[in-house]
Parts: sequence; structure tokens; C-alpha cells
Amino acid sequence: MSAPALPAAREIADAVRARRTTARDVVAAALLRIKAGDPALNCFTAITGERALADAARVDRLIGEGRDPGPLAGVPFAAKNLFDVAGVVTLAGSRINLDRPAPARDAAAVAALTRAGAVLVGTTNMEEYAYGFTTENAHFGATRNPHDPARVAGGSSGGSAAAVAAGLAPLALGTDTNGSIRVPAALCGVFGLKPTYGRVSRAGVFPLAASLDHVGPFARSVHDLALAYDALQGPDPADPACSARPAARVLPELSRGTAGLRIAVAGGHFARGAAPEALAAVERVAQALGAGRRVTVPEAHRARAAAMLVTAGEAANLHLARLRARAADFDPITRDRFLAAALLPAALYVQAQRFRAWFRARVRALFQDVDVLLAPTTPYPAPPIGAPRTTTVGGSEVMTRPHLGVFTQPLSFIGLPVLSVPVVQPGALPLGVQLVAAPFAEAALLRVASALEAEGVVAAPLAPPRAGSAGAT
Amino acid sequence: MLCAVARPGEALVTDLAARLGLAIDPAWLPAVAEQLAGLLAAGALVAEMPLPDDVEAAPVFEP
Repeated sequence: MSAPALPAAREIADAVRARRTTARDVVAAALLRIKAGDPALNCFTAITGERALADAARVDRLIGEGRDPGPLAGVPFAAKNLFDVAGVVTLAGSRINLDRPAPARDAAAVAALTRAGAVLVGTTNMEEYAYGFTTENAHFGATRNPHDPARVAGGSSGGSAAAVAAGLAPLALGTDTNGSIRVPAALCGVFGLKPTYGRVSRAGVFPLAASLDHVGPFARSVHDLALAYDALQGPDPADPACSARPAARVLPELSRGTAGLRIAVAGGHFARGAAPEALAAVERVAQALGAGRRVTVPEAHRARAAAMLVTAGEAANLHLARLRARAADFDPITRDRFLAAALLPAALYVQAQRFRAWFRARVRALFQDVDVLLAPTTPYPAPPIGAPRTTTVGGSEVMTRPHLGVFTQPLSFIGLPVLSVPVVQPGALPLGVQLVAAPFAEAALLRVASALEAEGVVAAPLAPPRAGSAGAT
Repeated sequence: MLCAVARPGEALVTDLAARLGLAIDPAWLPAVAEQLAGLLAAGALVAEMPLPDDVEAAPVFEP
């Protein structure tokens, strides 16, 4: 990969706004970087070069006219290919969706970043219909982990996370129903924020399970993540689950430090079934924050099971007509999941939804005297592409791919805001730690992440350049 | 860990699927049955915990 890595979003926006460079030059460099680096990783399914250059020209024109181009002026970004992008078919990782017409307008999140001056450079690879944790896609190939191309990038937003880790884009959009932002963020060694359920609009996003679907950003620094989140958050009547609560900017909060925040480590479910290095990463973060207290999230293992049921019931309903008409056109891995999900008894789905209300009440009580909880993001680093079905961890045999979500699922199940931070471990594969807060307390997460970043405990170093082609996997 | 649930018989899976208008290729049946066993195990774990009758689901629905 000969094209240089892009600077951070903050540096790009500052330079463009101060006329030290132009958005057009930044975007042209980004397109070269993608052209050079993507073949080895398979992050992108479409490059929106023509649109990107036109959007960059618009940003430069605004600056030339003395108008404000927005806080993300000229910052290239990528979007998982389940976000509507005007003129680009919304694949959602599937072959079936190739038959759909291209949308006429952008998804709300893509439009929000564009309004803030950011420039879409392409759409990224994912698990078919977002139902999985590895981005091993039979139609479009696996996305490779930039830190070790023989391993998965995590999923389902694997293309977005890998693109950010490899420096192909400073920012990217993903979605998270059970961990699909946090798992790839952890495995690729970048920051990934799953905001509170209803905090960021999902309008124009191909769904998986509407009760649990979230939109959020990836970045390589806390500042960049805050810039993107502030551009994304806020009410949107076009998303029925989007909260009417006004946006609360987090960028001004970053410098406040952790003073006054009560931080604890999640024990019980979150301290079992993981490789020692995943638990050690949590201890490292806890030590840096002086967090000695342990708390138990009640029935977290059952919350994970209930999240599986809600996802299955809603996803199978969403795809029932496609399963009837075109089951053979599904990716074999997701097809088996969807077909089984279609046979789930309704009573179990409703029980899971009722349990969700019960669990929410218990966790609300827990957050009466805790501000931020720490938990592993994944139970182990990135497995190899094509890994065996099962693996042994913590003395038990588990399903290699589904078990990647064991610590993320109980938290998204009740819509809590969670930030996965990449823990610095030189020479080792990336691992993440989840910072978890009460609903709409994203600022606390960003404050903690910023303090950890300042201490050098968390960081997202650029993955080394890779040559060659990812090939078909 | 999820509770162990016996894998549903492939004939049962085929019959249930057919009643939903789903045709399952015989080659897919073992994997579908295994996935269904996993979901039923999750269901058993959730259902074994009694909930008060007044606990309602919280869907987003504003008439």
C-alpha cells in the first residue's frame, strides 16, 4: 500500500476549514488510499468516487464563499452497505437485494454526516442481513482483519471497522443489534460507539431486529468519535424508535476527566467464558481508572439468551417472504439461522420481550450508584477466517462465532450506551473493553475513554500496510 | 451457558417449515435443526424464570 494514511478526522477538518488544504485534495488522497489498500482487506463493496469528489467540491465552494462547511469539513467516511446511499443499491450484504432499485435518498445518518461536511467515499462489507459476528460473507468474500489478514474483522460491521483500522477512512458508520459495532471495533483495534437505543436515527437503514437495532460510528480517536457522534445524534420523526430528547453534545465534555464518576467492573457473567487476555484487558483499564469495585448485572446470561430470541423472531418475520421465495439465494450461514428462527414459538419471543422489561428495571436500579461499568467486549481476539464451529475457552466448549457476542448481547438488549475502547497491548492481537453507562449518558463514556486515551491505556494504532488481494473466501 | 435441548427431528422441522410455506432443502436440514435447538435452549433459559403477570413487553407503539 503506497498511498499515505489519512490524518485523523479532527486534523483534516481543521486543515480544510483553515484553508491549509482542500476537501478535494483530501478526498482524492482517500480514494488513492482505498484503491491501494482495499484489495488486500476487502472492506469496500462500492467506492463512491464521483459523488465524493462532487461533495468535496461543495465543501470547498462553501469555504470559498466564507460560509461554514460544518465540523467534519472534508472528512472522508465509509458506511456499512445497509445504509441507503442515493444511487447505490442497499445490499445489506445480500445477493437478493441486488434486485432492488437504488434508493433516491441517503439514510438519515449518512445525510447527517454529509451535512456536517463529511464526504462519503464508499460502502462497506458486512455479514448478510447483519446476522452474525465475523463478516465472512459467501457473496462478497470475507473482510480481513488489518492486524492479521488470516483472521476475521469481526461483524457484522466488519468492513467499516477494518477500513478505519487500516486508515482507509478516518470515520465509518455501522449498526449494532447484538454487538455488530462493538465486536468488530474490538477485533480490529478501533473505537466503536453504540449509542443509547433511539439516540441516532435508523431511517433509511435496512433492519435486522427493530427492537434492538442501533446506528453508531467507528473512529481511531475519542475526539473523532465525539465529532461523528455529535453530528449523528438527535430526534428524527422518520424513525419511530428515535427519542424526542434533544441532542446533548459530548465534545465539550471530553476534557472534564473522570472526577465524580463512579466506575465499577462487571463481574459474574462478564468474568466467565473468556480467554485470560480478555479479562486482563478489563483489569488493565480498571486499574488505570482506580476502579476496584465489582458489581453483578443480574441475570445477564438470561438477557443474552433473550436477545437471541428477540433477534430471531423479528429477523425471521422480516425475511419470511424472501425465505419462502428465494431461500437458496441466501448466504448458507445466515440462511440456516433465518430458517430456524422462522420456527421459533411466539410464546418464547413474547417471554423474551417481557423479560427485557424486567431486566431493564433491574439494571436501572444498578445505575443508581454506578456511572460507568467495565466489561470485556469479546471473549477472545479475532478467530481465523474459516475457524472451526467450536472452540474451547475458560474450560468450556463454545460456538466460535456466536460466542463472540456473549458480553455485548446483554447490554444492547436493553439499549444501554456502550463504547468499545481498544486496549493497548503491543505485539498482541487487538482486544476491546466495553464502557457501559445508563441510557443517554454517552458523555460519561466519552469522558472515561478520553482519560484512558490521554494515559496511553487505550489507542488505535494504524494497522500495518498489506499487499495483495483478499481473493474469494 | 445455554441449557441443553435435544435437536428437533428433521421430519418435525420439515413439517413445521412446510406449514409456514418454507421449503427446506434436505441438505440444509441438519444445520437448521441445530440452529433451532440453540434457539429452543435460549427459550428454555428465559422461560424457566418466572415473571410476575404484570410484567409487560415495552414495544414502541404510540397510537
